[in-house]
Amino acid sequence: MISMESLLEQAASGFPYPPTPDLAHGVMVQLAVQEAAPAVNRRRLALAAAAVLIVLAGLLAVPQVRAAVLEALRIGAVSIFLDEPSPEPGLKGPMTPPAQAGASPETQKTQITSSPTATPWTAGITGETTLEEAASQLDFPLQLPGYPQDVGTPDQVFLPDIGGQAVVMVWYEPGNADELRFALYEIGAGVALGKSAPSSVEETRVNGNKAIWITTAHDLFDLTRSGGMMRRVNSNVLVWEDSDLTYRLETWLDKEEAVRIAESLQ
Amino acid sequence: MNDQELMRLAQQGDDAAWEALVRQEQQAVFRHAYLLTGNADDAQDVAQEAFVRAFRSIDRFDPDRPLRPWLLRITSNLASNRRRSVARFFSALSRAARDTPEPVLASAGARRLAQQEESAALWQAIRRLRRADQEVIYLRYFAALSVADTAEALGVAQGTVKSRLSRATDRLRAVIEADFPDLSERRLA
Repeated sequence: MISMESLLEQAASGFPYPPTPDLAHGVMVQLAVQEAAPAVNRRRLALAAAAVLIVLAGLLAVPQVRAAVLEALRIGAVSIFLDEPSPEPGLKGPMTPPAQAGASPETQKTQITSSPTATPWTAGITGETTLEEAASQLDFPLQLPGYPQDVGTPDQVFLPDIGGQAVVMVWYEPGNADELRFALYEIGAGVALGKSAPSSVEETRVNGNKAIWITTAHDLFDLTRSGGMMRRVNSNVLVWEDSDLTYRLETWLDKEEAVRIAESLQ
Repeated sequence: MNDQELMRLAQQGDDAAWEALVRQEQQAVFRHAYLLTGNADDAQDVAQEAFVRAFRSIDRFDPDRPLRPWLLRITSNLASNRRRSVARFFSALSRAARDTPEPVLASAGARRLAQQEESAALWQAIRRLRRADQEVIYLRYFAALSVADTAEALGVAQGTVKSRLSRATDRLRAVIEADFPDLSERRLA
């Protein structure tokens, strides 16, 4: 018979904790990534880091690419890490946009240079939910595209486990749930995503804000922790920032259509 | 180099000093996060984020104050937020089959194993308490903070810590007597 205090002290001393992971590395990496944020006083550091990456990527001979990359190192929650371009079997470099948003799925299918269904594109994304549940759980107002006119509500909605507030909404081609029309990420606080080795990065604008258009395959991964989300992205991607939120549009449409969708959010 | 010196260096932008403090405190922070979240993966995420948040606020920290209570306070807040977060909601759903957290029982001698099982059972009882009760017990007994440091971690007066502990242990006693008969037999009224 022992006192409650002794019982607690004994329990504490004999408690079977899991082994403590090495947190220091992850902490320092996360801080380093955040250091590269585009705050005014970080600008010089971000440019220096970008310059190093460019040297490694062998892109110095392409001034216009260099300029774009210097601007593109980070958009909101998304950091873009460059690497030496290395074409992969089955990937055909910059992807030809299949068609305008209003084109029929049949027409688009014949023009796609790399199948959007080669890998289930939702692989690696967890937390499927409903639009209503997502809206109630997010700290920021959820926005939906008003373009194309027939877009409607998303076919799938996810609240992914990526370290903070984020929603992923997916629209499939009408009548074909296997073909991605586009997927929209809306990303709030606490999220840090990385993109590795896209060899085609272009700066553009969404509602006047800086945006990045990527047209080559790359990896998308959660920077906040090891073992987090990691996805291979084969489609085109538009990334932009607006009012402290980061948006990311995955689509087989071309840049103009992607920007039009982006600017239709409401 | 002591904590205060490392903290002053970290406040001056010395990353290596902060990394040294992380390594020094990571076990305490991770364990506290584990008790609060009940899951090692969640605990790792919370603990890592706690160090990142702490570093972001480092200019506001008084290096003459103890570091650990401050870190554990941040950890508690993050664990509470995470519990409410949407991501946790869905992770919790996916883990519904193991609603009760399972501590890691090491292969050990029978006596040690029995102690670990008793610790785990007591933890289950503690987890029945409301959040504030859990926190004061974890800080005072599991993190082994002094009453003063527990007060620092909770942001309350020392007298408040004592009264909260008293109420928390009373409630824990009631839980044990109702649902944990094996533990109940071993303690005094």
